[in-house]
Amino acid sequence: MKRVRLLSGVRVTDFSTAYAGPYAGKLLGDLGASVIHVETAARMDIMRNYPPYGAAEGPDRSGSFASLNRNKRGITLNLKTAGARGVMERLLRSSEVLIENYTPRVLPSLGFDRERVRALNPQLVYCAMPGFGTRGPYRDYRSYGPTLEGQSGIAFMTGYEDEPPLRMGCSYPDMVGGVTAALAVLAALRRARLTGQGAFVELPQQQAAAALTGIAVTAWTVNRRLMGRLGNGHPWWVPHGIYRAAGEDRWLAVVVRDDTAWALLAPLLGLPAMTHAERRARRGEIDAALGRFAASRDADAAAQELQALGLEAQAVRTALDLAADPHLAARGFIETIDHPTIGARPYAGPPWRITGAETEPHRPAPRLGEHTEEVLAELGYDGAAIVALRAEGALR
Amino acid sequence: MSRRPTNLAGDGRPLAGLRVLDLSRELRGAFCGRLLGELGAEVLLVEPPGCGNPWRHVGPFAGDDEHPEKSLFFLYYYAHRRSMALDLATPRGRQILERLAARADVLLHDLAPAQAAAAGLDLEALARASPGGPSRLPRLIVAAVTAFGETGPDRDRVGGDLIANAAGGLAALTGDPARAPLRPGGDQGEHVAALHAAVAVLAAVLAREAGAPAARVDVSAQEAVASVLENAMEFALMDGRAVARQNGRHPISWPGRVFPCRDGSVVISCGSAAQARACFTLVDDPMMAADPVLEDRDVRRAHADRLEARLIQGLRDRDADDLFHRGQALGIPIGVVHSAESLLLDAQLQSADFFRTPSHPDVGPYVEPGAPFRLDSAPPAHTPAPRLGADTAAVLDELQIDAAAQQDLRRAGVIG
Repeated sequence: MKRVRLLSGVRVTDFSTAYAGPYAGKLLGDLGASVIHVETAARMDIMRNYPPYGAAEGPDRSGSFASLNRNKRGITLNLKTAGARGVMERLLRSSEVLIENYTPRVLPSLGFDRERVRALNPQLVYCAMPGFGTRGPYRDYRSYGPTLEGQSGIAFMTGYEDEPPLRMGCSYPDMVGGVTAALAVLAALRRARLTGQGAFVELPQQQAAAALTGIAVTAWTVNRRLMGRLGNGHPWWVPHGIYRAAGEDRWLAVVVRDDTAWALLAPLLGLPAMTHAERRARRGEIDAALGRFAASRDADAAAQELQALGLEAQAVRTALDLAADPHLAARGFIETIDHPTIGARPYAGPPWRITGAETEPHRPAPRLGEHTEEVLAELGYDGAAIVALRAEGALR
Repeated sequence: MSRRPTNLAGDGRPLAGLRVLDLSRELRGAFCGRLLGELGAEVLLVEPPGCGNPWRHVGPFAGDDEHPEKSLFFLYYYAHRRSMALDLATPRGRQILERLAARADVLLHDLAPAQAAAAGLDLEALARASPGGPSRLPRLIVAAVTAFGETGPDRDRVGGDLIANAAGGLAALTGDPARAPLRPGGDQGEHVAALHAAVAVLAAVLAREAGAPAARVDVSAQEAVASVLENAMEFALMDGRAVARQNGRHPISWPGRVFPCRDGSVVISCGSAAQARACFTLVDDPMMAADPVLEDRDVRRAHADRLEARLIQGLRDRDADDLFHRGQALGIPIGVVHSAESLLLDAQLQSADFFRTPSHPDVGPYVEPGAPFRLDSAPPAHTPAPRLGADTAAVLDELQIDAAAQQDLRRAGVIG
C-alpha cells in the first residue's frame, strides 16, 4: 500500500514560542502538515535558550528546541516593518491553519487582529492559545505551565497522602495545551473543509488544563468531598501503589481493581481472599505486604511475573531507562534525525504508529531563519524583492 | 480534497456526521470517545448486557450510592455518547457488531492484542467488512489506545493510569527523591493518551475524507506519557543524563514550586531575574530583592535553599488571592493552587462560563469542567452519560432489525 502523509498539503503558520504552541505545531508536522515556524531574531523562540545543548551552547543547538520544532521549516520576520507584514499576509493567505500562543495584545499590536486575519483568509483556522483568555479579568495576567498546574486544579490533587500539594515533574499544562490545540485545529479544519468557512478557535491554556481535572469538580458539587492528595493511592481501588524494589531507586507499581485480580496476588503476599470492602479496610496491611514482596525483588522481573498472571504491574522507568528500553526500540519510538549543527541524535516519538501513513521524521528543526528565502520564493517573492526586504530589515 | 461548501450534518459541530463505535474499557479510550463526542461525533458505546462497562462499578458514587448509573467516573468519562448493551461473546452479538462496524467511520478500543483475541474480536475482519462506497477502499479507521501499543515485546501488558505513569517516566520525575515516585493527580497518563489518540484519529479522518484509504491507528499510553516529560527525554537522549525527582521544584528555573500560604497555596514559576526580584518585593523583603545572587538563573538555583527559606517565610502568612493579584501586578508568573471548590470560583473561568451544569436522570444536576476550547465562541452541547443499554432498541431499529427479532435477541441475552 502506498503510504501517505495524513496531513499532506495542509500549510500551518506556527507563530508561537516556548512550549505549548510549538508542541501543537510539532504534532501537526509529525502527521505530515507543512509547518512554518515564524520567529524574529531580536526575540527568538525562548526554547533556543534552554538546555540540554550537548557539546556546545548556541541558539541552533538546544535539544529542547530541536525536539519541539522538528518537521518544521523556520523563517525570521521583523513584523515591525511593512515588508515583513506583507510577507505575513501572503503566508496567512496561503495557509489553512494559524497557531499562536502570545498574550492577546501581541498580534493586534503587529496589525493582525482577529478580524484582519479573517479578512485576509476567510477559510483559515486561527487557533489562539492565550494563558487565560482573550477576554476576561485575567486576560493580561502571566501564566507559565507550572502556574497553570495550580490554577487549573491539577496540582491540588498531586502529592503524598495528606501532605501539601506538589508540582509534577514537568510543566504539564504546556504539553496538554499543545496537544489540545492540535485536536481543536484538526476538528475545525474538518468543518472548514466541509463548509468552506474558517474558524477562530480560542484555547485558553488554563481551560485546557482545567478540562483534565476529571471527576474532581463533580465529586465536590455532588458529594461535597474534595479529591485531595492520595500519594499513589486511588479513590476506590486497593492496593494501588508504588513500592520500593531491590536496587538503587528502583520501584514497582501494582494495581488490583477487583476480587479476581486480588485472588491472583494474595497468595504471593501470604494474605487471604478479601472483598473490595475488606481490602479498603486493611489497606495498611496490604501495602506493607506489597512493600515486603517488592523489597527483595528486581522491579522488572517482578512486573514480568505479575503481568504473566494477568495483573497490572510495572517497574518505574526514568527517561534514561526509556532511552534504552527494548520495547520502545522495537516499536520505533526512538528515531534518529541528522541536524546540520547538532549532528545525528536520537529523538523520542510521536506516540502513535499509523499503518498506511508515513510518520517518520522528515526534517530536523530549522536553524534560525534557515528557510526564510525558500519560503519567500514559494510565496512569490523574486530575488530582487528578497534583497529589498533584507535591506529594509524585514527578514531578521 | 473537497473544498466544495456543503452543510455539515446535524448541528454543525465540527465532527457532525462522524460515527464512532466505542469498545473502550479504560479511561484512555473513554476520554478519547468523550473528546470526539463533545466535538459532535456520534459515539456509540457497546457494553456487555447485565453488568455494563466496568467503570459503572468504580467509585466514588453520587451520594455514595453504589449504583451502576451513579459512578462519577462513568458519569464524566462516558458523557457525549449513546449506549448499546450487546454481548460480544455470542456469535449473534458479533454479527451485530460487524454491521455496526460496516456503517462506522472509527472503531475505538483500548484492548491489548491478546485481550482483543481472547474477546474474539477480529479487528482486521471488521475493517475489511467496511469497504467505503464505489472506491472499495477500506472505510473504517481502527484506533487502538492501549497501555503499551500493539507491537513490541510489552504489547500484551495491561494497565491503567498508574502503570502508564510508571512506564512512561512521569512518576519517576514527580515527588521527593528520598521517597516513592508519585503518580500525578487525576488520571493524567490516561488523559494524555486519549488526547494524542484523538489527534491521530482526526488526522486519519481528514486523510480518508480527502481520498486516502482508512489508516489503522496504534497509540501507546506509555509513549504518550513519555511525550509530555518536558525536556527529560532530551536530557536522556542527548546528554545521557537523568533528570532526578525535584520534590516539586522546577529543574531549571528558581523559584518554580508550590508555596504554602495562610489559606492554601500558590505556585510561582519565574524565568527571569526581574521576576525573581519581584517575588521578594511581593513579600516586602527589599534586602533580598536587591541580592545580587538573583541575577543569574544558575546562581539562583545554586542558592535555592537559602532563597527559598526566606521566601517561604514571607509568603506563609498571606492570602493566596492577595498574593495572586499583587504578584501578577508585579509581573510575577504566579497562580493559585485551586481545589475544586476554589476552581469553581475562579473569576476568569466564571467570566468564560467554563463550567457546565448538566442533569442526569439518576444523579440529578451536577457540575463538570467545560470544553477546553471554543470554536467561534460557541459552547459545545452536552449529552450526559447514557444509562446502560439506553439506545439498544434505537440502534437496532437503525439497522432495520425488526421488533420480533429484537425480542428474540433480548430473550437470548444477546442484547440488553
